[in-house]
Amino acid sequence: MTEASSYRLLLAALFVVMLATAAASLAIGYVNFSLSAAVLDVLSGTPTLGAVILEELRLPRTLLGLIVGFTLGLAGAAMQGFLRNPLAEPGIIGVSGAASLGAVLVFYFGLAGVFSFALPLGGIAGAVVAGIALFALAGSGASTTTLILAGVAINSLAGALVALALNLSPSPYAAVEIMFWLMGSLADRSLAQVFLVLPAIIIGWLLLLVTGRALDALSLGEETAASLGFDMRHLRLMVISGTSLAVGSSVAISGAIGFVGLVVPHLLRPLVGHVPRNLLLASGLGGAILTLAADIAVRLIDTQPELKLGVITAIIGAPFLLSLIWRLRRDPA
Amino acid sequence: MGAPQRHASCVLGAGLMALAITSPVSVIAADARPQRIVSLNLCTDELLLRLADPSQIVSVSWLARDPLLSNVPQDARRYPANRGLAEEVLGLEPDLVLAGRYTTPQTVALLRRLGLKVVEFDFPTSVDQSVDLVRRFGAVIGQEQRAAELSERMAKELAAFRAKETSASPPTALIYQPNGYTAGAGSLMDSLLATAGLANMATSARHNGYGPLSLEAVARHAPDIVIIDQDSTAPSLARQILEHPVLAALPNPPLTIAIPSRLWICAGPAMVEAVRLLRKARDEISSSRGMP
Amino acid sequence: MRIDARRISATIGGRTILSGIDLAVEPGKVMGLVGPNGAGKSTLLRVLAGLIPPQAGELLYDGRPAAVLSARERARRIAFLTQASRLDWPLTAARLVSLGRLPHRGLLGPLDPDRDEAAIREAMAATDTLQFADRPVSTLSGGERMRVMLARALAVEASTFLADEPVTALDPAHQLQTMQILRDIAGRGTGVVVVLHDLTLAARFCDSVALIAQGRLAALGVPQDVLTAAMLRSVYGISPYITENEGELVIIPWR
Repeated sequence: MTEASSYRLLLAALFVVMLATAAASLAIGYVNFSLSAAVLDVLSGTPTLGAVILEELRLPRTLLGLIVGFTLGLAGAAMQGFLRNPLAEPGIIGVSGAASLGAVLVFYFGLAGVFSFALPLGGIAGAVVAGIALFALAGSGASTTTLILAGVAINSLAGALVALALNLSPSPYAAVEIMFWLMGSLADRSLAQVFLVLPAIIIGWLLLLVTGRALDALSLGEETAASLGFDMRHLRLMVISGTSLAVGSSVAISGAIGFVGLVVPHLLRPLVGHVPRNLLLASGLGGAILTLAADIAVRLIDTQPELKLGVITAIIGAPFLLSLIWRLRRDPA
Repeated sequence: MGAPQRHASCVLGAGLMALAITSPVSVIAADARPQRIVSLNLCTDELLLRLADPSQIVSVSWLARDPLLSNVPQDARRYPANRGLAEEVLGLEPDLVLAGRYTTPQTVALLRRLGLKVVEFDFPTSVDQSVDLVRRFGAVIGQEQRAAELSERMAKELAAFRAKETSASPPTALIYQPNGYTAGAGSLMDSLLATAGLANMATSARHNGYGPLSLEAVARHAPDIVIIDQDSTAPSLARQILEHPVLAALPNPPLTIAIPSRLWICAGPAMVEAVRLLRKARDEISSSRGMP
Repeated sequence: MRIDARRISATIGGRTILSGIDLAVEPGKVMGLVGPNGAGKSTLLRVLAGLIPPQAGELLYDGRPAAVLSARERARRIAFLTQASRLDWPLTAARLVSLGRLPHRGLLGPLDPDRDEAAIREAMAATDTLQFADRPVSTLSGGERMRVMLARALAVEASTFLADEPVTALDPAHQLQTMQILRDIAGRGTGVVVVLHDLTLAARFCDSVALIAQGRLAALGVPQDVLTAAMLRSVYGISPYITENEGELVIIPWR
């Protein structure tokens, strides 16, 4: 069937581009060294400068970019499929902001020092609270206006509480770190941190990926989806828990990076024939590509200190959102 | 940000920046020494507490009582603390107000407009300037004798450290502040490193040595010693960077020592303690690496 | 599959919509559900489909309690076609129809790809929608969209077909075509229940008619017994004009 094979072709193409972007991310940084030589050194265990930088700085940064990017793309596609709204994504509807708050509370008040998994757990808890608040406010199948307003409310509250928590925290440096939490960054993270969040994130991915068929059915409406054998409450649970685990853990390590989950599914949707299930994996790969590309840009743009990643994604994403809203105004079908 | 944090960042920021403008100071005659002195700045607090008669001191800044920031916290507690607000200062009816170069300009301007005598002291940018500043401070508050004794003692101890230096290519040291800020060329910290016989890695990594340095650049220049601030252990992202595994993974991992920044922000005898700690680290790394 | 409803009551939001409904859906037969607006026809259809649990009474699928059947099994045996056709994504007609095969698909794809393809093609051929296969459904007219939705339900190839007003938006030709399709699938063994407003269509194409009024079963039986002038007057408050053409009942609301 040509439809299935064109989908596979798309996935293969995205995968290849993702690998290429990852290679570029390993090669680009503040110190010049030969990537191939460094790779050989890492494999042979020789601690040359290139090997050390590659293994301890570039590799965690690249892996994190892939993981966080995949999460954001996948979560965006899943939310849009579930809420049946093209404007849904973890940043806009407040899930990322709330996750930041959870992580900030855990980190700055010492809980992460007691028990390292407390940090992603804080992010996950924040995301769950936002998910519940969102469904209480907007419900599924809510109008665009209601959804965006609910997101604005959650984001405003979360942002204010993050600022408050940072000001009240014992460390004098905390107050100026707000930009990290609200805009996100992949810089200077370690492999240990990547492995800390990976298990929860993978579980989140799996929960979201298996909702594919239910999301397809849901495009015919809740009743028809139920008649096709899909339990709506079960679906809601999978989407909320999958998003909370994956996005919550990502934000705990990288801060809230916005708009990736909005832009990527929107661009890829026509390429998968608007089928929600096919959009999931494709958006994950696309999200990884976009996030890594933005992070490479952050390293190439020479600002002091380094630009926050969320700034780039917002510069791309916010005008995108405006154009989407504009188009929806004209044909609200 | 509230006043406390504004002050803290002014104090810390000034310690990092290298500006060489000193403001003119007028000397007070010994028989007309000021009797009601209010100090608004951490560094002037310290010199005031060390050199003045207790009867001359009316108030020092609240920062002086903080053991993390101040070298004389116990002494500072004996006097009322001020937060650097003009209203507070006026209420204390001082005959001399001491401020730092980075005390809020509006406050200083207002106090002057209302007829108060305000003397501003710049942060010193070299060891020699610090010694000189102590002397000038003494003149302003009418304690030239004590100031001369203190400054001579400081000069002698620092000269002794300088005399020890022998190598033409000394070990490199990097001062790595939270968020990656380093000590610029021509700053007080830079001068202290030189006095202890260390080369400031930041000046070779960047053209003027000032500004944030990425972890990759730190790894590349491989300093022999990394000096971090020994502040509170409360968690922050800034602290986290200092503990990144890349430093330990380097072929010759640097010796990491912690020197409280309060030892080298202000001109005063605490600087000598900083140089002592630096020199000790230098000797340790030299012998372990088999360097001269 | 046979569906038995015994003394079914249903409440929604505190209001009693249905009470004491007794009827059976038999394989190979078409049952029409008629009655005034708000009588509870749509609710009854949803109870039969297993979408709304009854407040009281029993619902049996092939003699066993409905709850025993898993959601997936039920989805394979009952095809449900709603009136509302909200579609949020501009899927092509072919893709939309293929959604009807979801009960027969596993995580990795169709359990029987050839059967899948055949079912989709047959459903679209029967509803005269093959020509729209690659067009986004959002570009079709209301009636055309309804036919695509019908094809989607047919693609399920279920043994029971429950449709809520499938012909209301269609032109006369396609109204007749749709009712004929329902007769055809019944002829192949499917049990069909269809909610209708057109009394003539109900009379001509249904084996039995259930007349629902105010949540109760006012009458159940063959069309000529149920759709009598007296019955229609008492339930609808209208005087119908009843006649015959080619041996089949014609019922026109007259006054």
